[in-house]
Amino acid sequence: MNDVNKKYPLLELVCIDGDYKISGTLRYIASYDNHETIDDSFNIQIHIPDDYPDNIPRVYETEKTNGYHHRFTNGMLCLSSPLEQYYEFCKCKNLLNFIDKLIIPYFYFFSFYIKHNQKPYDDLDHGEKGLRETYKNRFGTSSVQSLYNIIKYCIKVKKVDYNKKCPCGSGRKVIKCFDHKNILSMIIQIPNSVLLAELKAIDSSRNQCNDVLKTKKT
Amino acid sequence: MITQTNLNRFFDELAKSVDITDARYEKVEKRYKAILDFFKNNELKRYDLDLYPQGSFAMGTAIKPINDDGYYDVDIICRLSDANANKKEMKQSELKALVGNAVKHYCTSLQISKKPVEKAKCWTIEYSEPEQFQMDIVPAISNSESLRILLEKQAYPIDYHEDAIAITNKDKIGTYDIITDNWEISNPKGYLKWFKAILKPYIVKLAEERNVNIEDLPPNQSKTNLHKIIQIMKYHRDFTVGENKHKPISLIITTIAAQNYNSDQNIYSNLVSISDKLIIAGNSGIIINPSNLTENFAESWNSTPEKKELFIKWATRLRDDMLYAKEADIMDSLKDKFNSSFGERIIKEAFEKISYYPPPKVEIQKKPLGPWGI
Repeated sequence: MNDVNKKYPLLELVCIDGDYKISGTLRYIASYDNHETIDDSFNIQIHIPDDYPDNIPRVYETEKTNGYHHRFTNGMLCLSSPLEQYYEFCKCKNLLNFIDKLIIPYFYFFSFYIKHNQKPYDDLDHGEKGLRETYKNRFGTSSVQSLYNIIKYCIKVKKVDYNKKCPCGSGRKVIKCFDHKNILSMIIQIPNSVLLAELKAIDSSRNQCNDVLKTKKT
Repeated sequence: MITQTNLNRFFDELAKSVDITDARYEKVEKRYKAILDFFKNNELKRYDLDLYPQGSFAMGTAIKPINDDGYYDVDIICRLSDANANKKEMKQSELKALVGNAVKHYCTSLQISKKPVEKAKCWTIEYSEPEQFQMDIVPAISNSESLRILLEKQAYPIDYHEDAIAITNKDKIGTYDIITDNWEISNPKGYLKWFKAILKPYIVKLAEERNVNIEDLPPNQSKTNLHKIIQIMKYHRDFTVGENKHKPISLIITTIAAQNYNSDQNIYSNLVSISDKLIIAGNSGIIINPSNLTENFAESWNSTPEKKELFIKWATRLRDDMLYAKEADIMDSLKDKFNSSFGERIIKEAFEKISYYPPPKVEIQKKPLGPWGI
């Protein structure tokens, strides 16, 4: 938190009814590639979950992003898909990294989009389609079955066994499945509740979630 | 909800925005030292002279005028102490004329185009443009004995009597032009001592933090939160009350602030609690001068109830503004509200400063994560 305060002096850690939040103004100058540099500020609240850093924070903004499609009506921002958020967060589990790598790219996208009606980089489709995109992006596969297998694997497994087969369906052992070796060890850190929600979103008709629930890791 | 830290940061910057510059302080000091030199070598040669600023410039609570072309007022006491300058041998009118001649001579020698103006208790020098300040020279003689007797009579402690002075008042016809013991008592040095005694622990802390001796801290750079609170309140008064002869006086504000300041709390919490105390004191109509316990600063409210009314009206607005800050959701709504209480210029300046010591630069990595939604 000290690092956060040093860089963003108007963000402050507050405790309301036992819940920890970072509240205040996030002010920055952000640049991306050779796109325009944007100087902007947002009043935000970052809710820190009880099981942080196992679970990632949720971010709320209720002034500038009203009506924006990548936001819930209660003000919670859809920073990215859970997979992408955990992927980024697990690289360096601290709040400053969370702000710099997830929140600011989100707001940069927003500011740029509002200003130019153009996207500076790709966003994800809503719902299941977006989830599949994100898995395709990381695993090179978007078939419902392989996604299902991957997520199921991550719910069950506590530690990746590199000598077992990769859940991607390639038939290779994880140790030889170079693209997936690292990412698997990150996804298994995603809390099961989140993975289960993803599973439901990807294929609600299969109704196999219950099976998985029975076998989930403890 | 705006967090306390942010509110505090805002009021801290607001105080810095209404504060006057070091250069201005230096200029004032240079000016009155020049006057002292001149007086010592001319009309007032035979008197043992003491010239010193009183009020906000002495206490470090002076503020900018609310308009760009406004004037800075500086009060200077010109105290004569000599066997020849005492109540037994001199009328108030004579002292006033004596100092008046010296002031006039000084202005001519400096080729100040405007003639000094005589007011009830002082002579006012208006320096030419672009100096933007006027100096009130208050003629005075020593009066420690009178204050001591007065205090003793009422069984008050006599802590600050040594520096008491007697001043002239042209409006009091019955005493102005005769030899009398009945002069107005004033005690700016005693008041300053009282104020400094309250500040001392905080100044010591400040000096420790900066690793210097207390004496090495320039007056304008030893600003405590108490200074800042007083400055904010005074500026709020100047802006919301404007030019009004019944305007709440700084001495009352300073006294109540200093008496009720709580160093364990931040600037903002103090502003809230002190504005409450201002309303209470306003209603009571009793604000005792700590450097002369026989004096009630609000004495004149009895004969001029408009003063009391205006004081309470202003203090209530100040308190409401402070409470609004607590209720406001975002910093921006504070901006709109405070523009009407402190003026756009100052609020803009304060906001620019909290907008935040150039913002950090963040470079977004290649192919960042796109937003998503359910």
